[in-house]
Parts: sequence; C-alpha cells; structure tokens
Amino acid sequence: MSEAGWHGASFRDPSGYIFEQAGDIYRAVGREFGDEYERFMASGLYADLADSGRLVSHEEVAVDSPNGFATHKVLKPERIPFVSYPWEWSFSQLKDAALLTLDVAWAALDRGMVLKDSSAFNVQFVGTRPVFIDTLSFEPYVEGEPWVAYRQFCQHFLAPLLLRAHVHPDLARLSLVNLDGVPLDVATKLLPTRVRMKPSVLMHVDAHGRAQQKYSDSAGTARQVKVSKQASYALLDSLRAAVKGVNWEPAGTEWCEYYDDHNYVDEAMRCKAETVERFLDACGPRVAWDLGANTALFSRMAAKRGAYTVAFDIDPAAVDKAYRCCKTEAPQNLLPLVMDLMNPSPSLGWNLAERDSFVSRGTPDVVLALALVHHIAIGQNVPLDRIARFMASIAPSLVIEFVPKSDSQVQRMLATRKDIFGDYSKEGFERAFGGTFDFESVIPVTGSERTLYLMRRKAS
Amino acid sequence: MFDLTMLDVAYLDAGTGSLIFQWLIAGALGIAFAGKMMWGRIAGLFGKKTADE
Repeated sequence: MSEAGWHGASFRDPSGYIFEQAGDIYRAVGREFGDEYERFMASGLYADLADSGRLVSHEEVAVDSPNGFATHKVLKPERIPFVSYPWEWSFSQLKDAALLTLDVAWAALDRGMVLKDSSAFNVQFVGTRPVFIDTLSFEPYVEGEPWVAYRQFCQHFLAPLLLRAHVHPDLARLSLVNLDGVPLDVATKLLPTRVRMKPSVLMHVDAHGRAQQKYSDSAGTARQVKVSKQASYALLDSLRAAVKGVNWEPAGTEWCEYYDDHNYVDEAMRCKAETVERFLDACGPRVAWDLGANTALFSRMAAKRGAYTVAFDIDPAAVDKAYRCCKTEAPQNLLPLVMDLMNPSPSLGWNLAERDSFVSRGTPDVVLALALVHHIAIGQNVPLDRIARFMASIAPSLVIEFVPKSDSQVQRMLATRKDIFGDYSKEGFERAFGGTFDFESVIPVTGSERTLYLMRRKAS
Repeated sequence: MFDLTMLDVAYLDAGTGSLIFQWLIAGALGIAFAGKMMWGRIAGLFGKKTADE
C-alpha cells in the first residue's frame, strides 16, 4: 500500500483504483469509466467469466473510496490468498496464464467488448487455478480497432515462454528486470536461429520487434490502421497456437528428481512424513509456507489439512512438476512458486511499491523448512542464528529439519571446500534456534541421523 | 479517416509499430483463420476432431 490508501501498483489505468481499508481490498470504479463498467456488466461478459472462475468475482459495496476520487462504484473482489509474480511462476504456470489471457480476450470479443491490456500482472493464481484479476480491463469494442494489447502480450507472455523453453528456465528473471515485459528485440537476439525461424516466432517476435523500430515515427499512419473483427479473432487464434506450440519438460535439473534418487531409506521417509503430519496437526495452520519445497511432497500434507499452502523452491523444474501434479489433484489450495531464498523477490517498481517483496505478501501460521538449513548454512555460509531470526520474522510456528554433517548430503557439500562450520552441529543448531524459539517437540528421524523440530516463536 | 475510439482512450501505449504490424499481418492471418475454420467444418462432417478438441 502507498499514498493515501491507494495500492502502490494502482496508478497506470485511470479508470479505477485499488485501495485497502480495514484489511480488505477494494476497487474503486472511476466516474468517467462508469458507462464502460456498466456495459461490461450488462454484456454478460462478467457473468460468463466470473461464473467459470476465469475472472475474479466481486460484489458492489457501499464503501467510500479514499482521497475524494470521483467514484462510480466500489467493488469488493474475491481475495487472492497469496499474490505472486510472473518470474516466480514455473513455465507451465506462465503458459496457463497466457492461455487464460487469450481466452478472456476472445470471450470479450464475443460479447462486443475488448481486453484493453494483457499484462501478466493481471493474472493471479488461486492454488493452481489461474484467474484474471483486473475487472476494469474491458471496454466496448469499436469495429476496426486493432488490439492495443498485442505488443504487451508478446512481451509479457510469448517472448518469456520462448526464452524459458529454448534458452534457459532461469531467464524467468528477465521479467523481473523488465516489468513491462521482455523487449522483443532482446528476445530475438537471445533465441536460437532454429527457434526464431519458426513461422509464429518469426511473425510475433522477430518481425513484430523489427516493426517497432521501423515504424516508430509513423504515429499518423498507425492511427489510421483498421483491422477487422475477423482478423482480431485470427490474431488471438494465431497467438494461442504460438503459445500452445511452446513446450518445456521439467527434467534434468538438480532437484527435480530429488525424491526419485535421494538416499532416504523408506523407513526414514515414513518417519519423516508421519512426524511432519503430526506437527501440522498440532499447529492447525490456515496458511502454510514450505521453504525449499522441492516437488511439494510435504506441502501437500499442509494443503490436505485445509491450509492455503505456498510451496517455494529454487528449482523451476521441481516447481513445474509440483504445479502439474497439483493441478490434477485435490485439494487445489497449493501454490508452487520459484524462489531463491538467497535472493528472494524484492520490492519493485515505481517508489518500490508496485510489487511487494515476498516476505511482505503474507503472514503464514507455520513455515516448513525441511532439508533446507544445511543448504543455507553450509552451502551459502549464513550463520544459524540469522536463519533462526529470519524464520521467526515470517511465522510463529516452525517445522524444521536438522541435517548433521555426517549425512551424505552434507558430506557431498563439504567434499570440495574447507569445513569452516565449527558451530554446525545439533547442539549449535539448538543453541542458535533456542534464542528465538521454544522447542515444542524434537523427534529423531528413524533410519537417519536427522532430527525434526516443532518450534514456537518466543514472545518478544 | 477512421476514428480510433479505443486508441483515444487507452491508457496503454499500443506501440506505433505494433499497430501497423497488426494491419500488415491481418490479411494473411484472416485468410489462414478462415481456412482453419472451414477445414474444421469439413473435418467435422466426417467426424474428425480438430486439434483443439
């Protein structure tokens, strides 16, 4: 949130604003946009999209908007449990968000409306379900108008999908440094020639990008451009085929096959699972965050207990695998996201208020940190007491696993470096975390040298 | 001159090049799309499923 109650990201489109009041999120519809909003509602498009879960539903409420904004109506939209950003989505999540955007644009044309922007930030995930959140993105269609959001779609969706699939999944971060999408000339330079030569890529990315430069001084011509409605459908159809044609299989990265080839013996895994389930029952969380979730095996335990669970992992392949699995499984209150805890999503955009840092986007009741601490403490040299304070700053309850130096995973990490971690022992771990947390339960994992803890943050 | 109401009210800069490019590809895309629709109908007559089904 920022100036006078308006959300820090809510300033680009003057048709309305988002604001927060007493912990609830509202959308004020500007008086000047009142006619467009009423036509959108009367067209049947809202009912069509909201009833099918493609658009966030809302109710019109009698709440005053702040700061004297000339308001037509105030809407209270369905709350998004955890706001996420495109660079945190795995490949399949971005692809589903792209297809949803095209689907919404198509439905709008069917109802005589047009989707006036196609920002990836207009899509959020409720669990594994992508949902379009910008209720004011629709205006009446005017015969002959081109799609004003075409370039934005290519920059926010098509180019990033191609780069992730054909160059490297880590190029998701390009969307973090280019908040208005990856420039098409940059994408063209990065893509391999064989990909660039595909007709859909040649057209929507390469030639489209060149046209930006060639016609940059042709505003007069651009204003006379006329595109038939049939051609607008054709453009959406072509983009849909282009998006569907980009594929990436999550395999071969470091953590994707973790549970497949990891050296847990069955007994240890069973004990770990039972203990985590018992700890979760003791916490009864409404919201859980699983840090280092891998393919969300343990996150699912929290989700199955009714907690809205966000499963963070550094590996885009593991996250994609989790997303694909969870999409087909009930319950669908689990959101897998890509996150590097050593360099997590910061506050971004204008005044650092458009996009929130990951820790400021939620208040989980419990954090799961299983087989994680050694990666941060030994892999990244972060002192144990700092890890404890970080965990305590996020949630009041912590389910955490200590992996000792004798464990084969830690041995592997120490194989090529000097052991400078004198404090890294069970005693050192308990000393470091004991300063911030009370230990409610300490359970050795049978069949391994690991230990599981249920900790509660000390009252400050 | 065509009155582009949407362009006059849109808060988003559509990009001059992007608008002209849309106009340039509109014909080809329109023909391809019409062909695809027609093929879908013909295939439907013979009980074939299209790629999207």
